[in-house]
Amino acid sequence: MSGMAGRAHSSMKSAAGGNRAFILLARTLLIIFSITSLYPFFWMVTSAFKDNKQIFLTPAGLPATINFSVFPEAWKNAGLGRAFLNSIISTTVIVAIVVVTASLAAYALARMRFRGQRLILALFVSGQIVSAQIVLVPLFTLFVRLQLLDNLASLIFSCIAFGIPLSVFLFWTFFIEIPREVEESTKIDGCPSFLFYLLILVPLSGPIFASVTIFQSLFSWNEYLFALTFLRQANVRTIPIQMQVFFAQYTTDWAKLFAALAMTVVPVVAIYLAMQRAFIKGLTAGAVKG
Amino acid sequence: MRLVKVEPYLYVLPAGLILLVFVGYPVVQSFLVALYDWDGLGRPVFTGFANLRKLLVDPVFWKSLKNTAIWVVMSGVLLSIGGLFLAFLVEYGASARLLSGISRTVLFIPMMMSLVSIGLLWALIFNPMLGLLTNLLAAIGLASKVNPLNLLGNPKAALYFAFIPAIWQWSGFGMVVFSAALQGIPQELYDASSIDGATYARQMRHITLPLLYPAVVIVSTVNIIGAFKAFDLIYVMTAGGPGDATLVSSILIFREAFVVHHFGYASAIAVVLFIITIIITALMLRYRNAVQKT
Repeated sequence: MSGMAGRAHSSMKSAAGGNRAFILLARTLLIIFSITSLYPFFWMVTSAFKDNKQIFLTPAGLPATINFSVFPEAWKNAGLGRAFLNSIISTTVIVAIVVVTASLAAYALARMRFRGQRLILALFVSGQIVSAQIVLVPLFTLFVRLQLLDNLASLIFSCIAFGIPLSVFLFWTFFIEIPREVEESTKIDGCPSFLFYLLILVPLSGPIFASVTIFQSLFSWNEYLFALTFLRQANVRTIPIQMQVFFAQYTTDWAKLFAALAMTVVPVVAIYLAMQRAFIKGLTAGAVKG
Repeated sequence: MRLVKVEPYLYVLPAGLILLVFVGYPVVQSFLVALYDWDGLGRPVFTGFANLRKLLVDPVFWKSLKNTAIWVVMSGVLLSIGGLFLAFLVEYGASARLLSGISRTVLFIPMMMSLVSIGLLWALIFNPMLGLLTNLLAAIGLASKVNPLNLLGNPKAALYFAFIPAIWQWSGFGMVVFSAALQGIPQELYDASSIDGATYARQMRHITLPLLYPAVVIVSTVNIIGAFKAFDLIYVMTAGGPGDATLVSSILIFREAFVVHHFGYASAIAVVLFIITIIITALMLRYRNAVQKT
C-alpha cells in the first residue's frame, strides 16, 4: 500500500506544480484531523486518572497524579470479567462456525456443479438485505419457544445466521477465481472433495479467511441489538450490554466510567495497531463487497 | 450412468439450514405477526390489515420515517464527502510518506470501536456537565461556561449532533476506499495531460473525479444501506429522545415490541421498513452495477 501511495504523491507533485502553500495547508489539515480522530481516546484515558474536580476543570490537560487503583475498581463494579468471558466465548464460537459453514457452502457453490446452484447462491446473497430489526420480534419468540432466552446460544445463533450471507459471498468471489487446473490435477489421483477443500483450497485462500475472520470478529464482538434483546440477565451479558448497564448505574462516577471504557476499547485498538493492514483490508472487504 | 450428486448439497446444508431457521423463517413470521394484535404473551388476535391502517395515520411512525430518511441522507452525503476529503489529504496533500502512513492508521482507529462505546464516549463528550465540548465552544465564543449547551437535549438539533460521532467514525472507512481508488488511477494519464499543458484544476475535473466516481457510488451505497440499520449509536446516546427527536425506525420497532409489547404493530412497522429497504437497496445496487460496468 505504501509503495502505491508513493506513486500517487509523485503524480500529483507535478500536477500541483510544487505549490508550497497548498502542501502546507494540506499537511496542517491532516494533522488537525488526526488529532480530532485521536483526541477522544486521549481524553478517555487521561480522564480515568483524574478526580471529578480535575475532569471538570482541566478537560484537556494531563492528570495531576497517576493512580491506577481506579482500573481494578471499575473492572469489578462494571462486572467486566464476566462480560469479557461472555464476549470471548460467543465471538469465538460465532467466528468458528461462520468461517467453517460459509466456506464449505461457498466451496460447493463455486467449485462444483449441481441443480439449483444459482438459486441457492442467490438466496444466500440476498440474505444480506435482511437487517436485525426486521426479524427481532420473530427471533425473540423463537428463542422463547426454544428456551434459549438469557442464554448465549441465542446471540450466537442469530449472529451466525446474520454473518453467513456476506461470508458465503466473500468466500465465493475468492474461490471462483482459483484456476480449474488446481482441481483437475488432484482429481486424477482420486482426491476426495473434502480433502481437496482441506488440503488445497484452504491453504490457497489465506487472505479471504483472514478477512472474514476479522470483520466477523469485530461484528460479533460489537453486536448490540441482539444482545440487548435476548440477553437480559447479568451473568450472560456481553461487553456492549454490560457497559451500557454500568453507565446507567454509575452515572456520575466519571473516572470509573472512563476507566471501564478505556479497558474495553484499548485492547481492540491495540490488536488493530499490531495488524492494521489485515484489519483495514478485512473491514473494507466486508463492507464494500456487500 | 449418472447419479444425482448429493455431495454439493451436504456442503451447503449447514450454512443453509442456519440461515433458513434464523433468518428465512423469522422474515416470513414477521409478515404473519404483522396481521395480528399480540402482546407477545397471550393469544394473538387476527386483525388483518388493522396494524397497517393504524401505522399509516400514526404521526410517530411518520416522524421516525422522516428521522430515518434524514439519517440516511446524511450518511450518504456527509460520510462520503468526509472520506473523500481525507483521502485527498492523505494521498496528495501529505506528500511525506511518513505523515500519510501515520494519519491513515490514525484516521481508521475509530472504526475499531463498537457503536456502543462510541455512543457512551460521545455522550460524555456532549455532556454539558463534563465540559469538554463546552470548553471548546466557549474558547471560540459559541457558548458560555456558566450556561452550557446541552446539544443532545435540544429537540430541534439532537439528530444532527448525534450524527457527529458517525462522521468521526466512518470518514476513515471512506478514506481507505477512496485512497485505493486514487492509487488505481494510472500515472500516465497525469503525465500525458501535463505535457498537453493541463492545469491542476483541469486534471482534477477531467481525470481524478470521473475515475473516482465508481468509488463514490460504492461508499455511499455502503453508508446508505448501513444507515437504515442505525440503532446502536442513537439508542445509546439518546434512546430516541428528547421526545421523538432522534427516534429512527429501528428504535421505534424496538420500543413498540419490547417496551410497550405491541408485537403485531412492531412487526407491521418492520415489514413496511423491510419493503422500503428492499426497494432502495435494489435501486442503489442496480445503479452501482451500471456505474461499475461503464
